[in-house]
Amino acid sequence: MSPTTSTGPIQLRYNGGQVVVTPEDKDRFVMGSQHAISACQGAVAFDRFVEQFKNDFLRPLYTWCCEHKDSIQACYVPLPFSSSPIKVFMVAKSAKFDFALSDAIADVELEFQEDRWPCDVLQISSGSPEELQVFFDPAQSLQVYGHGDSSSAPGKS
Amino acid sequence: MGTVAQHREKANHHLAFLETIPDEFPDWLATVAFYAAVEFVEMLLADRGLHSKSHEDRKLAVRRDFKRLFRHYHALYNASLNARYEAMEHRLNASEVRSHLIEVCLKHIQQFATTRIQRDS
Repeated sequence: MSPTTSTGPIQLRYNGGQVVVTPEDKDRFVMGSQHAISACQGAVAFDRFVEQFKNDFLRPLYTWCCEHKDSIQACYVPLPFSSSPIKVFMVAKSAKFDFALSDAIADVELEFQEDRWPCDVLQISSGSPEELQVFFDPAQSLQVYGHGDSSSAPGKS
Repeated sequence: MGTVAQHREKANHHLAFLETIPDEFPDWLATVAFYAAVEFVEMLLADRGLHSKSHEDRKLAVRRDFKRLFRHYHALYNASLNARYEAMEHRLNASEVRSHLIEVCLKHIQQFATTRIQRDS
């Protein structure tokens, strides 16, 4: 195994024996190379998932929100993403349940289902932040769209 | 896991209750209408030997197997949830619930379920 001071890439082989890991906080630990490889593979898979999630789910969702900007004030995806389906909250501009928006939301749910991103999209009425908390915590959520903030486009954070 | 007949009986029970709810309680009109729809969907699932364990599970089943019902089921699911949890000022009034959720959405699901099950039996 290459020393950590190497300027080139560190080689980690499945049969490389023990690996000494030194994190930023210097809380050093030792693990088997096979476990280290599994951890690396997990990280790569996670990065790939995040990229896919942004491109295949968040961006189309943001675009959809823009297309329905007359009816939608904001859109949130609560974190962390638990198991499928992904929860999505659309804060409507209407103070009452908007039936036309409901149909559009049902259609977009079907589209995401067909694209293998099953989600549960709920319309909630425009109200105070306290009222939103009945359904989800905006502070612990990804704001995909809303409140006139064009920088909320996914991937711009 | 109920049978088709058991779910039909429950659906009819909810429909009978729906008839008795006065206009001052649009939130309960919406909620009972949704639960009647749940029983019609469960009738359809039972007819296929299936059963759903949660609202999410059932919604997924409608989305997957009964796409034609999905807009109506989604409206009932979402509007009744809002009726239960949102502030009173956001409530639909009784006439909105009756004319849209009950007369359009619930009726459509009811007709679809009864026709489909008669056809299959």
